[in-house]
Amino acid sequence: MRKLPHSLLALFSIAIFLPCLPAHHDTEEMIARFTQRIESGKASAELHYRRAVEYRILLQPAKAEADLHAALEYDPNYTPAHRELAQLLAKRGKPKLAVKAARHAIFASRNLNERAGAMILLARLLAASGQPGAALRSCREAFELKPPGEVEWYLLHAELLALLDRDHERPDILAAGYTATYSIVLRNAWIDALLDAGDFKAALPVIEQELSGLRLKSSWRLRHARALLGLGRTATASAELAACLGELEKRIHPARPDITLIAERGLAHALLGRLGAARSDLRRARAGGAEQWMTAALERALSDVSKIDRR
Amino acid sequence: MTIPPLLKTTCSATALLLIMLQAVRAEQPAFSRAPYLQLATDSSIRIVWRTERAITPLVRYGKDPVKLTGLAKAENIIKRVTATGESGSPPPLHSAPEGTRQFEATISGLEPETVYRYAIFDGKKRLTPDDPSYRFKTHPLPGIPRPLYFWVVGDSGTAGLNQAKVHTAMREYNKAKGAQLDLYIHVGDMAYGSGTDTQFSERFFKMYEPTLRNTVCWAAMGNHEGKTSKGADGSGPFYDAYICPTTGEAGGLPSGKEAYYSFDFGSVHFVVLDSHDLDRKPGGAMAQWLKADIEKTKAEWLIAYFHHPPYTKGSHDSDKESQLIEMREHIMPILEGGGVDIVFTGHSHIYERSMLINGAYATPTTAKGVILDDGDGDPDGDGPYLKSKGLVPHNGTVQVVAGHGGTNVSRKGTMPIMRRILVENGSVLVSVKGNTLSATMLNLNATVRDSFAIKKEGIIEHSPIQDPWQPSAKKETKKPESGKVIKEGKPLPPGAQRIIDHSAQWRYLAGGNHPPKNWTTLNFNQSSWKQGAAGFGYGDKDDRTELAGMKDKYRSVYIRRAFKLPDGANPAKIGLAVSYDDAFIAYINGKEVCRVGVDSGSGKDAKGFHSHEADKKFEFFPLDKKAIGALQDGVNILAIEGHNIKVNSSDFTLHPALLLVK
Ligand SMILES: [Fe+2]
Repeated sequence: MRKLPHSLLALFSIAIFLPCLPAHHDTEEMIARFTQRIESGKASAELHYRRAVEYRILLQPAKAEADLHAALEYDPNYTPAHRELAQLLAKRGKPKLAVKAARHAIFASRNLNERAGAMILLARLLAASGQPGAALRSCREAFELKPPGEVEWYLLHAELLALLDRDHERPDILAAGYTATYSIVLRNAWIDALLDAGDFKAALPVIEQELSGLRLKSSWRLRHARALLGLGRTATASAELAACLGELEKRIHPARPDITLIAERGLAHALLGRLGAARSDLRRARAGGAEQWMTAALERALSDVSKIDRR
Repeated sequence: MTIPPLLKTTCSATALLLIMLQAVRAEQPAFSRAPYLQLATDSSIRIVWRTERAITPLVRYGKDPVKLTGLAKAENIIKRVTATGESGSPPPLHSAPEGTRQFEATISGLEPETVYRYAIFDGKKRLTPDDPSYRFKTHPLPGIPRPLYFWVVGDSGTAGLNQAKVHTAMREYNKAKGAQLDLYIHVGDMAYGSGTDTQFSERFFKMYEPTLRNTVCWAAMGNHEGKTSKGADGSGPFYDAYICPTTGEAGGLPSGKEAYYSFDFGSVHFVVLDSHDLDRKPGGAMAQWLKADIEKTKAEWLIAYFHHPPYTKGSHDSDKESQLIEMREHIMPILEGGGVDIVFTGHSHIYERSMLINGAYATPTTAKGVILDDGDGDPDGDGPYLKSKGLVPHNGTVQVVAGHGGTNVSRKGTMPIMRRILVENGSVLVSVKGNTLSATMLNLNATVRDSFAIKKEGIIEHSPIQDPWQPSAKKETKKPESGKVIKEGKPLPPGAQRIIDHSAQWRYLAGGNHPPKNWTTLNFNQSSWKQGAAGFGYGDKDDRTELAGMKDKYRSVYIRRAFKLPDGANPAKIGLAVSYDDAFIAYINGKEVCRVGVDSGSGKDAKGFHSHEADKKFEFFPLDKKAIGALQDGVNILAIEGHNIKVNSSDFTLHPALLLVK
């Protein structure tokens, strides 16, 4: 039998799919549509959940929370709503309720993947509410459920160990993550963990090799200086820090800086003993929303210098 | 039993449709997803296809189309199926139809910058035709400057006519120019409404099939794909469809995730981000990877793309929506601190293209202190945007929102950093040649609607412009009370024939009188009406027939004119080109055929007017379908009533022409 010409087939596919084309609306219109459906007696857990997501996108957390509670009234085991609620409550400064919602998400999860994801969420919320030990347990349970894990899980695992002052365990976790995922973020975090754990000798050759192939070197110059200082090579370290600051000055937008670069500059100042400048950058990075781990090295350097001063 | 004629027609049409569909079914296609290319590098490529039945897959390839001497054997081709196989087998497909086999052949050991032909076989049976379009070209070696030409599409996945037209427009434009794409980037929303496996097949793979067989599409995930696919673990139909680099195999640093990655094409470095469902904060893994990746690249050009635009007032608002705000506040500082040249996004269904900007991270976005060059960037206009050679931090970025690839377009307001705002479907074609990157926005009729370029030479130092050029604000139009959508004109189609010329003579009634009801019909006696050349109006110096007494006296004008259709003209191709202020209703032989800016009623009873400035511009309005029925051989009458929103308005324009488009 003769084959249909290609163009005719294409027209067919267009004709067949036209009637069921989805309409595309902006966020406010989506909310109006969901509201109309909810108010016309078609309310469901999914509809309330979907409206909650749109409210969250529009930065209206109270309305989003109300919708998530409504979703869970329709279906107490609706996992996506539990997950969304846990994250929202944490952002709204309700850590205990957030942890409770994350536990519900674990209970209601439909498969191992979801359960492991909910465990990680719980670990984050526990850490944020000052329970790093419980958080670590939850994180490790997630790894047991889904052994290869994900890039972010290894970072979380290492972060929790840092909170528990178990820095010496961090390099192995991050090295395992790098081997499992190839993520460069885990490789770099592994180098940072080696430096934090005082294993400067292991870190130095990797850092020097990395430095040779870079276009923008500030973050690696910092790592280099930290290793050199750890090995007592102060003069070389100072030169490296000066070069680091020179590059950062060109990269930091004077009015609207990237806070990761501000944290780097603060650390360079601290390692050079310029405490005023370092403290100012620490304040700026925090004000810009830097997470605790991003400024951890800077804070540690500042506290080390103050200890030396006190002696 | 007698069958009514209409039903008879419907029945025979249905029968024909069924016969045709059966024909398609009887000739079961070799592929349920035709072959497409993925993950090109300077020495390798992946060829992916799907079948619904078992085959013995083989790929033959070679530089000489007659002798495809290279061979990828079945044992070197990954086969993925819907159900989990024994342990160690490739990951199962997320939700493909039962019985689907997806084959992923890796061809390696290739020469850089080399064109190869390929063919797919089932054992000895060749499944792809002997056609030169089944080819691939390897990338140049990293760092080596080579010309690059690529296509940018966003928010296309409807399987509708506009998506098809945008694709055809690109192909025809390239054919006319003798240009071939090196790659295709998609900024997300390629399979509405939920990025399901079937939606991917119908709304992406089928729609772009002739392009995908020889051009790699490097994709960023949109929110619609995010309904079924997850960036965190790379699961779902999106990640079944695409093979993205995770170990730095295409250039750049290993991300460990398919959701965000980078790749090189000679001296151009691309970074692709997931703005939908991953942490967008500066401390998140994605931002850390981004920072490390762009610190390492030594490319001459840095191009970034993702779905959610940091700057838009199209169908979405980047001052109000969290994902867009976060991409601007957290990701843009990293990109600009690494010297990014251009950022492509979608999500907002519009084309918006910025001036040369830097440091616009505040919310809401303003133009204050962030515009480095407020020219139009057009080499034939104000000239290209200038930047320093290489990648220099904070030396200027152009933002392009290309969410106009097929779905309905709309505009909420005016983003002050934008230089060009176009509410129409289309795509963007980008060429990088030596020290210049040039881009054009091609609409669905293959018309170039915007052109700009970035040129890199020596050391260029910019400082923000104090009082930069600003785009004209979107006109505030109140929503029609009736809930009707206000019709908006389209750009004039090129090469149209004029049935009634722009300067034609018309009969007109002005002065505050309203005509009798039959004024739009052929038989109406118009002898008492005045005669004048179009256009009609006052106040804006664009009128051939000046209605000097209109202001403060009356607000409606009626015009009519006879015309004949050219021999053999297709009535469906007739439309009005009108420059108007504020509203009008057009009739052919007594039937209303086009209503713009009037909610209800007509003549003295017309109500609900919407403000519109003529701006000396003509807009095109295809006629309503009923116009086709109203047209007749011989003489026809086009009658138009024009209305001003207020009697004391400063200007009025009614300036029509009647066109026959190609
Ligand atoms: Fe979108």
